[in-house]
Amino acid sequence: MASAPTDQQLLDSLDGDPAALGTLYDRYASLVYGIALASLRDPDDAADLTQEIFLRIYRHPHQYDPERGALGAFLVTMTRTRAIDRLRARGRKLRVLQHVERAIPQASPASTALERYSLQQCTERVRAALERLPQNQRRVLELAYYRGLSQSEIADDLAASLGTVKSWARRGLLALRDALGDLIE
Amino acid sequence: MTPTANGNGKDPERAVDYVLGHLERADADAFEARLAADCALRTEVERLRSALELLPYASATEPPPALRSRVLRAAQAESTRTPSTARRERQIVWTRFAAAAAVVLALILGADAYRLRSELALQHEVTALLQQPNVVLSFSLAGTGEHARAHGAVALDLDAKKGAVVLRRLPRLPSGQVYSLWARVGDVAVPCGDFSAAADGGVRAPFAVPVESYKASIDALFVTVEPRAGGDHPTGPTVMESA
Repeated sequence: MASAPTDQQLLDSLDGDPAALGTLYDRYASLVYGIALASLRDPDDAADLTQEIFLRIYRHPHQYDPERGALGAFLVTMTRTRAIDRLRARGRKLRVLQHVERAIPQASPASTALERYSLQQCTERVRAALERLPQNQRRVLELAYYRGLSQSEIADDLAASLGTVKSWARRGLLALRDALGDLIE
Repeated sequence: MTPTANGNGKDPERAVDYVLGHLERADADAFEARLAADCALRTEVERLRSALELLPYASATEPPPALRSRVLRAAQAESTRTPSTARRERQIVWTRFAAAAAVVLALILGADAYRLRSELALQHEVTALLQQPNVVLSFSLAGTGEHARAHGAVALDLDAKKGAVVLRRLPRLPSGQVYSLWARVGDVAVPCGDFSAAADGGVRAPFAVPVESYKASIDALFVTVEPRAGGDHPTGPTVMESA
């Protein structure tokens, strides 16, 4: 039985075979749309952004460099960056995630995880880890990651003191690190 | 978590704040200097960042069923259009850019190969720390008028909102003046940053790229001499321009 085409094979064939985009969409649309929805909180905006991301891949398939990690991780970065750009364009007071957006190792652990596990397995593992976190710790991480909010903005959002937010953020991320250790290694 | 080898007990807390993007710029810069010197701290930051980068996998959600055909129809419609050759030529994969930049910069910078390798290694290190995605726009710059011997290169990463500039053979400016790099976008000049030349006439610096200011494609880059803490518009003479 012929094996399924790799992401790279699909990207390489996009120029002459637009249908390959459909296969890439089937693989990654839930990831892209989910991030867009978590960030933008509007289904129509999330659908628009999902279309933008896949059209961008279609137009410029070679922007993705497989040496830098899995396609899924590339799409995560692109979707999140574009989502925060859109939030900024809405006029929201959003902190530029200079420091969060710094720093991803060449072969990111997210890529490594995707190479070893299916998207569904990754989703299940991370969801389970997040569900074990106290709600406030989870919310702080989500507001920082998806919405690009600063600690003081998160404190306003959650009606908590800055010190409390710092504590939640630290404990939440450390717990996540411990819970997902095998995906990170 | 235990303090790192260098014994700074604040590092574990700062590592979390850093990964979450919650350090002020000056604190982040200081922390990055510590990172460069502390392997254990770097490993810890990578683990924390890795955990955070897994967060989006929890949000996977099936999109509306109609979206798939909408995306494919839009792609099909685009396939009949001619892509922008100029834009494609400027968009290159980072790894290819690094190799091309090594050649270009070697020609530009002459025999100082060791320094060049160091600069590229540093650039790689910096960009690896800057969540360097794949798309890079590259420009070469040449001096104008009495600065004809000056030359250099600029790389812009619009996804990471970061850029890097390497310039050579620029005269040192009097105190109170700086070299300012600008991007010409339509009829607007977008400021990219202010730099001072080192004693050897060199400028090597990363800078932030205000993507939200780029309403159209970048037509050109140019360098002017401006008063320190100058305004948002170029006022001084142009000393370098992109080819």
